[in-house]
Amino acid sequence: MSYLIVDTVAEAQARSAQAWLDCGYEAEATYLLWSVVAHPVDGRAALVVPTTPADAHIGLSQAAYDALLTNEERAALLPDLPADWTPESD
Amino acid sequence: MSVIEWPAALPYQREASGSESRPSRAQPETEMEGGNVRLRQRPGDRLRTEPWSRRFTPSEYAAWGEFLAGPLGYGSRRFLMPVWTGAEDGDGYQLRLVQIVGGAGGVSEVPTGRGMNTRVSFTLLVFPAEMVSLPSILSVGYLIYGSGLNGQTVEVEVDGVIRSGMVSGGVFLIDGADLALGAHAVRARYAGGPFGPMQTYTIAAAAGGHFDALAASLYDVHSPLRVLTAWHGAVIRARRFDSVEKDFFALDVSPWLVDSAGMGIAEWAGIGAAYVAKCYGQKGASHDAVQATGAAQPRIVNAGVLDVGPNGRPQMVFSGAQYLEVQNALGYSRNAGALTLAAVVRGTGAGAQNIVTTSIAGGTSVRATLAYFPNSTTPVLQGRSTDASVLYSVSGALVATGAWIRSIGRMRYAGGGLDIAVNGAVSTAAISPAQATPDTDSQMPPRIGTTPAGTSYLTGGLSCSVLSRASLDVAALDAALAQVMP
Repeated sequence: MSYLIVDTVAEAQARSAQAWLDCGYEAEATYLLWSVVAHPVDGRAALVVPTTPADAHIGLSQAAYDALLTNEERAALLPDLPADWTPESD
Repeated sequence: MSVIEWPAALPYQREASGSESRPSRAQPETEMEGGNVRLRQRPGDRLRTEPWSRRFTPSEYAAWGEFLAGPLGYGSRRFLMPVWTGAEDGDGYQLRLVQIVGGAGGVSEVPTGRGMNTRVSFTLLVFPAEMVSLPSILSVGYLIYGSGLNGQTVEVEVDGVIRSGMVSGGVFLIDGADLALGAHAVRARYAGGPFGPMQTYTIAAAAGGHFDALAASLYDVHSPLRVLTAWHGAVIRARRFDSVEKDFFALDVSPWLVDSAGMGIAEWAGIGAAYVAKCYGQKGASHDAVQATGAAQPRIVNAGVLDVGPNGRPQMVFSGAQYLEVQNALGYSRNAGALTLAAVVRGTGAGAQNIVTTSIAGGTSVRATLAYFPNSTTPVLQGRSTDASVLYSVSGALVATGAWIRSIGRMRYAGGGLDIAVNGAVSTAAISPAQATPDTDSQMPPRIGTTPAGTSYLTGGLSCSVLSRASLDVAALDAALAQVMP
């Protein structure tokens, strides 16, 4: 699992929706590829990017799945979310 | 081609004293040089010979005479008749295409009983079973499900009333939700064709509608099983690994989930997996539990095999990053004197896992949450009536990690208490002061499988979740949940 941090939740959702279309899939009840985690305070959002297409629940090849991210995005992937993203909750 | 049928006015059962039947025509002999004989089998020899004899009353004899001379063309035509096969099904008679050996000339009629009745005897050539075309019924429940020839209209007669449906993809589905519990006499035919044998199907109490008695008190209920008989729609919308989506309806037997054409979900998934994009709210109030993100959808089929629990019923598999969100439900906890959350669930995760949650705000504050905390052995109910309140908590009886449990949480805000019932055993704590929740909507909808903040994901399985804005009777709800244990 890797994380890609973007400026806003809306931006993250748009990126996730674009990734879904880039897979060649129709937007139906499912239209987002990756989950979005909102930062509890500052408005930023993180895309949760599973390592394999099977973990992302889709039937693409690994190469096609890897190609969904640009080189810049892949370089910006974090292996874990910093602690301030997941505060203790109820 | 129209099919001639044995007249309904005439009994088809033969007298037991008739002479013996023969399973085949005699095989031809070839004489061998050594003086021995070799028999040769021919496909056409698969004709059973069945003697038939019965005493007819004068009115039956008159009907027989009309049948023989009219539709049968003096016995020269083939017709359909239930004949004795010794089969276990029904009364031992099954429908076959037959012909009278020798036509009318092969029929013997002898006066009996001082000339009051007439014994009619003949020998039937019984053609192979595959020459009778009939749809077959696979199950009778809230859906009548069976197989047949594509494009044909199937008529199923249940207790004398005919319902019909089209065969598509090799199967037909006919609604039977109005059928009462108990035994029903059922037979099927292709429209315009002959009926197959009458068979008795019993609809058991466990067939569906487990939550009917509670329906008025439910906010909504989500399950891959159909638990409210008033709900006639699909129970889930599934997404295949290649991201084709389809609605699936619930059966009460394998294959459990079928599409509108009757194809089972595992067959539809092929060798791959399928996921739940939507679990329809069975109250019909548009409180569907949805997940638009592919990676966050719970699984329902794995490698072409339906995910089931120990009782063979379907379950949704959560693996630590999946959840469903209940639509149009921001008002669920608004101005509530009590809330009940319940689930049939198993948890295998190492830490805290949320089962069903309703929140106040978008961040971390829950109004009520049914969870495992601090780990999978400890079911817990937590909640608060107002935003400023401390978080109240009550733990239930300990369970084994991974065990399927019935977990019921009741927040009785106005009653000043909260209860958790695990497999029917109730634990209680106090809420002070007692007060209903504020008259405000939540910022986030109720979630199944995670917290409002997207943490403490469920790892395990879930087969049913219940939301109510009342303090439901624990025993009644637990009994209903017990019937949907996967």
